[in-house]
Amino acid sequence: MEKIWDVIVVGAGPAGLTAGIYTSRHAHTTLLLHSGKIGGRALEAHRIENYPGFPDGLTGPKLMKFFHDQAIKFGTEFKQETVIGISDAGDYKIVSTRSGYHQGKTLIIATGTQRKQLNIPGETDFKGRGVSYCATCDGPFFRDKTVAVLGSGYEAVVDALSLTDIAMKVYYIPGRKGYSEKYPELEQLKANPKVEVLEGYDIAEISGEEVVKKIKLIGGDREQVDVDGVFILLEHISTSGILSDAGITTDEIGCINVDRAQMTNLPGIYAAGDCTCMGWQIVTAAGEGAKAALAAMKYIKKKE
Amino acid sequence: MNLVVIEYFYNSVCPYCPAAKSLITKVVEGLKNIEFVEVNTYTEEGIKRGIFLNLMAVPAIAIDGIVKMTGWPFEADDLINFIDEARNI
Repeated sequence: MEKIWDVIVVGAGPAGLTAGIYTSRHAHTTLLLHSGKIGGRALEAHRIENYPGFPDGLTGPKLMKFFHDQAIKFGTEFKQETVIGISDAGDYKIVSTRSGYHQGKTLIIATGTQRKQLNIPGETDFKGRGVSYCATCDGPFFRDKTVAVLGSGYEAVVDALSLTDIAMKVYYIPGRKGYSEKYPELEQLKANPKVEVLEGYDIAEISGEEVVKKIKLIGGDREQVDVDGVFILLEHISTSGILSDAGITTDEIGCINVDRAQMTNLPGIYAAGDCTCMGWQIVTAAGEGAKAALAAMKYIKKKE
Repeated sequence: MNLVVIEYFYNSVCPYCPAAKSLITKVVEGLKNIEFVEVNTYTEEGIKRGIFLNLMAVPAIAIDGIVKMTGWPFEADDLINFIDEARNI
């Protein structure tokens, strides 16, 4: 007979890892399925200064290593498998992967989000040749060069600021919808002599030859600017393409609908972290992971 | 059989680098006359090497000093073809 896990967690970001820590610490057999990216999007954070307990700050990879080590310590089993389907068979939840399938009494979805693309001419053609979706990963290649950063969220503001340490000039383009919030770092960014903020504009096209050379703008008098790189740091959307097949409901932009205990519309299936689009912070993702784990354990107990 | 030098560019914050390394390792495992070099672009030496090769993103693979694959995903078949191509030069 196939093993039936108490809890299957899909995703190894802060929410998934925290869920694993909680359920395995309470002696619930826990399988965590991941795509090889243990730590999720938090791995891209070059400095985390607002995670409680670390007053001097630390890097995303370091914090995620702590999470990972803690989950392993309590017995969470990790498997690198790509999830291709989820189904609710009542008492058991079935997670299909490219390598087979797993059964669990409960399921916690913590799949995070994927980066939103602009879908403009040139974006795909110049991906990896000047177009980047990760400033902390690729920023060092743009030493003394000119870059544009597009995005209105906190990540875009902070990354634009960090790029001023590397690049010669940074065009910051919040987009025509304007800023998501007035982050404190925004004032620092605007005051930086290397930064030119292009408010009211969007990027219409990215062009170049072998590599990116310029971006075409819409929204004002400025028609184009010469750049060596474009960092597209838009806020994220859910990765949850398989959810609708499973009957899990999402809102209009793909965020999984959950109740106060992180339960989806399907009993015994929970969601936590960025895939619920609440908070977008490591601490909120971890909190949701813990809530989902506690609710899942309660669900199992009730069923016994 | 020509020696083929594969340089794998990565850094500690790149989310797709572990998957890229896993794929490269599987492809080169058992192949003879391969020199596999890991280049951390978060080191001064590593970033200089990347910039010298006109690299603009990680993960990336250079074969015999020429960047062949940049950004994720990589396809194993493409990497095998690049290795074969380098052997036949």
